[in-house]
Amino acid sequence: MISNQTKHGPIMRVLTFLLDVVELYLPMASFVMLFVLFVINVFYRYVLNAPLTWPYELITLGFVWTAILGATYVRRIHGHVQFTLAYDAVSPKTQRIFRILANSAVVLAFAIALPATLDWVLFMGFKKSANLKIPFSIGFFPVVPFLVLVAGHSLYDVVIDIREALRGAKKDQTE
Amino acid sequence: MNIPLLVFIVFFILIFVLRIPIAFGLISNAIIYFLLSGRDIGLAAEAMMSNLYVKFIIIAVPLFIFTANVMNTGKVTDLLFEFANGLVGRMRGGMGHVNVVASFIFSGMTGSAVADASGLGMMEIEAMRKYGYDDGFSCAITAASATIGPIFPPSIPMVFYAMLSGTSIGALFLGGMIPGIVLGIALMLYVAFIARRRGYPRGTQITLKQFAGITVRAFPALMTPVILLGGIYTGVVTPTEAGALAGFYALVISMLVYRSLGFQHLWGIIKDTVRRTGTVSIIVGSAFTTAYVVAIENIPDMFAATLLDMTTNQYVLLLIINVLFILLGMFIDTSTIIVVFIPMVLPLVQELGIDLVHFGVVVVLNMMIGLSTPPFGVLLFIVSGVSDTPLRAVIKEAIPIVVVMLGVLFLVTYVPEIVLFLPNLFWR
Repeated sequence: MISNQTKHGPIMRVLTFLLDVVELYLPMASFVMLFVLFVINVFYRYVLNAPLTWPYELITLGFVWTAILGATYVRRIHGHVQFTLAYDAVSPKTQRIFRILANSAVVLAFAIALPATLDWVLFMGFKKSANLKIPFSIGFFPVVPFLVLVAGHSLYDVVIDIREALRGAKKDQTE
Repeated sequence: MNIPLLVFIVFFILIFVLRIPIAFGLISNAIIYFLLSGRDIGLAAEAMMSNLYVKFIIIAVPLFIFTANVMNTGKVTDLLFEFANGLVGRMRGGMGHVNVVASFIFSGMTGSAVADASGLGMMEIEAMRKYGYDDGFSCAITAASATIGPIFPPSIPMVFYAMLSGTSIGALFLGGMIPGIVLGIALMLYVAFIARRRGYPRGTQITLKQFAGITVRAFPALMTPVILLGGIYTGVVTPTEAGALAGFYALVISMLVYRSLGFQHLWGIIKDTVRRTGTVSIIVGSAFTTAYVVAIENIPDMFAATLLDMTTNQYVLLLIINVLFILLGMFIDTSTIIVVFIPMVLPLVQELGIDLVHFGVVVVLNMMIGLSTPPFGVLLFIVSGVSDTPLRAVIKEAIPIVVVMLGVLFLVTYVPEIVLFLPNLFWR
């Protein structure tokens, strides 16, 4: 995992910090924003009897940012839901092959999708929210770092697994 | 069968064989399908992002997660446990009953079985251990009582179901109330039976005065479900706003009334909320990409036609769907099942005239049974993990409890009034 490499020096530390900003601090801030706006909105509507409409736009935006960027953080800590029954039943060597195939498939598919996704996100810039006039390209933008970072984490795991496989093969030869 | 669909089915199977994270697997599968079928690949992102953006009700999910985290970090769960102890602790097998009652009250505040089993659950198991209950039994009853969480409102799986089926979340929440109570009673009857047979002790005897003191202390915490459900059913707030209000209320009582939560805890609570929201929401988002392909290929109609060829009897079909979903629940995450498989059976359910509120509650109850069914029920792994109890001991004790739960499922499936009585009375 990239986050475990902080001991390797300042570059990795900076990289980890940047990852934390995108994958953790931004979604945390987005969640706080949506929560606070919800409470403010309920207060204005039921206590002051003066309903606000603009907070809903930021609330939905906050949710999308929390969910999508939060999902990249979960990928970094290997916390996503997986079906492990078949994987657990095979040998460690086969497990490594499974991991390489699984991560490669994600890297490949996400890399293929990236240009078209970027086009779509930019295209959505023409549409704006009703009150705050926020372009939808901003609301939907997290899907771009999502594809890049998930593919990046997966590629990193592929490299680690291949390196370990080669090391294992070399060790077998010397023995 | 066309090539893109064939590849889609093969890759879908590979997601489970190769242990690809389900969300990424589903997204990748849709991307490959769009590529092979010559469609715009950007459709995958569009299906995912647009749906997450417009399905406003899903925002209740991080709010319920946040509320559960605040409850589990603050002193609220301790007080709930103390209150439940005062209420039913004196009975034979008292701690077993306390376990069910505490989870029941907690279920009125959160809506997640995992939050119950991993937070309150640990406290319940430790208390039962202290009173000499078998570890396996303590764990198994904790897993089972945690399943009340998503059945009794609020409920995260019901939010997903409402979002996909267009059913009213208010009606669904009301529909889950009686089944949740029936399940709680069934579990308490089972605890009483086992306690008598194994000679499990009574809990602490407390005086009426002591109980009054506990109730006063627990009162602010006990008001959480009242605010949440009362707010929804009096029409004062929407279910999503109620989630925010409950979270805010939990925060206020934990920080200001009980003084058990400081600003230093908030960082961890928000971080965990983001983590859990990221895990659950991306599955929902990814399932929208699958749903898009499933709709293009007309799979729900094919599925409906196949089942209708077998039988057109409503009850037999409900039985088939029940068995199917229990099996899925044993292996696959609840949110995945709802977002991937519910759209496939909905046309069939509608064609047969089955009430969508009834069906929603049956499906959620059913998946909860799957979550606590050996050998792959996730809740069994959680309780075994938090209590360091061998899984084998938990599984042995879980089997008869699952039979009890299946009895409740049978009742709820074939007596729809258990679900529909309250929605018909107050909602329609």
